Amino acid sequence: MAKALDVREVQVERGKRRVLQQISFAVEYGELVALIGPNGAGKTTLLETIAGFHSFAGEILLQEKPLRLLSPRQRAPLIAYVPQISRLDAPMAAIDVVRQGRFCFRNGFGGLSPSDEAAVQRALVATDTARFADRPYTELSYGERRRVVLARALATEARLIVLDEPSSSLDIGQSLALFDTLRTLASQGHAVVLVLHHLGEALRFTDRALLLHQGRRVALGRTAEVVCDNVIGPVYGVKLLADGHGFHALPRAIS
Amino acid sequence: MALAAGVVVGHGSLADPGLRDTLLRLRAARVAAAFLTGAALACSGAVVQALFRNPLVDPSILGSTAGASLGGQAVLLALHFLPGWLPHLVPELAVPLGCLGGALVALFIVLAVTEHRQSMLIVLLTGFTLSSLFLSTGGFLLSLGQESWEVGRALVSFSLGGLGGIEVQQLLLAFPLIVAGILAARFWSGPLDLLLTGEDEARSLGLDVKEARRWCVVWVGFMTAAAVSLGGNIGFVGLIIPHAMRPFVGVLNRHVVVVVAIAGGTFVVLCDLLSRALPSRSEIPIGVITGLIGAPVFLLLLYRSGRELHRG
Ligand SMILES: Nc1ncnc2c1ncn2[C@@H]1O[C@H](COP(=O)(O)OP(=O)(O)OP(=O)(O)O)[C@@H](O)[C@H]1O
Ligand SMILES: [Mg+2]
Repeated sequence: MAKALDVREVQVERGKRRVLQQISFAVEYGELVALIGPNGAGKTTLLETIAGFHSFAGEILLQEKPLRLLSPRQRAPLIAYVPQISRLDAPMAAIDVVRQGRFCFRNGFGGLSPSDEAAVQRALVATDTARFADRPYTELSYGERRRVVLARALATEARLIVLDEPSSSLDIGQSLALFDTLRTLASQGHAVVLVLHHLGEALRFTDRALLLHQGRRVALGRTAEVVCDNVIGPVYGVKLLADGHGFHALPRAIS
Repeated sequence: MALAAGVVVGHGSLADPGLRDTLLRLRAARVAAAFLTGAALACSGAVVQALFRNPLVDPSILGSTAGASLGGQAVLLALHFLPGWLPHLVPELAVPLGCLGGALVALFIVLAVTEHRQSMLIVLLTGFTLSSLFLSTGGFLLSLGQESWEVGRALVSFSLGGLGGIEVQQLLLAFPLIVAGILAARFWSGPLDLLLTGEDEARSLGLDVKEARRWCVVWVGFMTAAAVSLGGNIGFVGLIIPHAMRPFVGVLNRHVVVVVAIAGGTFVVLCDLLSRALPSRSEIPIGVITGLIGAPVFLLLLYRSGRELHRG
């Protein structure tokens, strides 16, 4: 089956430090893959590399096409990237932020076609941001801003979506809505890769999980098989206690 | 309205029917030159501010204004001391070409730096250093020029900026450059709007950041060269006009570049009007007027946006 994303033996250096080593994994259309690991494990770096920010050794295929050979304009319709923190800090209307997602489809002086505008509207609805579409981005709350940036990514309608901690700073209602949206997208054939710190969310909402530690792949498999005490425990230095409703983490020393 | 006033106001009476035609023609050329200069400076100001994601820069920060100025001065000097050197060029064309050459040299250096260093800080510092270098060299030329009173005066008035004595050839040369520059700014305003979200994110949304930066710098070079060749070094227009307009038109460059060109043109026409209308033995150089208005206005704008700047 065709792969949405194929990462082979990828190695990344930032500054003089090797931040990722020998990372290989593939993502298929229709699945939600969680990227988990402690702070500094290299999760953000991995997503940024897939989104084309860093030079790397190895090979990355986006929808079967080598990432290295794609120009920014060719790459943008293939992959939508939602950063951990957007650098956007301009008082432009939220809807104009979402319209940025259609940039790669514009031509010449940059008017959007009706089908572009339709994609923008769908993204606004999917993220429940239509209500404040006309308000300046910088006057929105942090959670609202994150949803606007998510809407911008969805507006690209790329079939591969990578998100860096999308649920942090969302309230519980909005988090549930987010995972609902992502699941719907997956069922429509999109591939979704997302960094999650909340292991409960990973267990509940994702199909597979990739665990990173110190730049290396420690585990890859069904989320329930990765998020369990004997795998997670040593990496995070905690003891996971599962009960009927979920699990708790305790400092390892206590156990 | 400003344009009409510009044609009517000034030394010399319109009552004399013999002089009237000539005077009107001269003043019309002058108003056109003022408008074009202001439009080009303000528009390049807006582009540079978007490009460097910094509201406190203007074309002079890339060294292109100083470069154009130096190029023009060098040609003025060469025309005087080496009259046989540029035999095929009339002075009206030689000076603008000197400006263009100077601006492009400055931009070429800045671009070369941009290609190899990603850091904007380094680019800005390069522009700054180039500016100082060009200004000092200009000062050096000026002291050379003092040997002849006439040339010294021409150099001083050129470096202060002045719209007097504009020739139609100069207008014909600058007009297409400036119009093309403004259209290009409008064309690149979409990418500039995308850059508001930072280079990495803009790239992930499909922008070839290097290409956009290269073209914007080239067009800014053309516009500043054309502006300097018309009006000399007129300060503050590129800085305050975009600042003053953004509260009304928002931050989206596709609106800003057009509005700012019109506002900048009008502003310089009015300043030129002032420079002719104020009682004084000779005309007050327009660069002095824009400086006198621009500096306090800029301080005021800075003070008012202090809170935002603090945050950003
Ligand atoms: N610009 C940089 N230059 C050098 N090293 C960096 C840079 N950015 C990050 N690193 C290093 O790379 C490693 C991985 O960082 P990364 O941001 O990918 O971690 P992460 O898994 O996303 O962490 P978090 O959970 O805190 O977001 C860290 O050790 C970090 O110190
Ligand atoms: Mg991270």
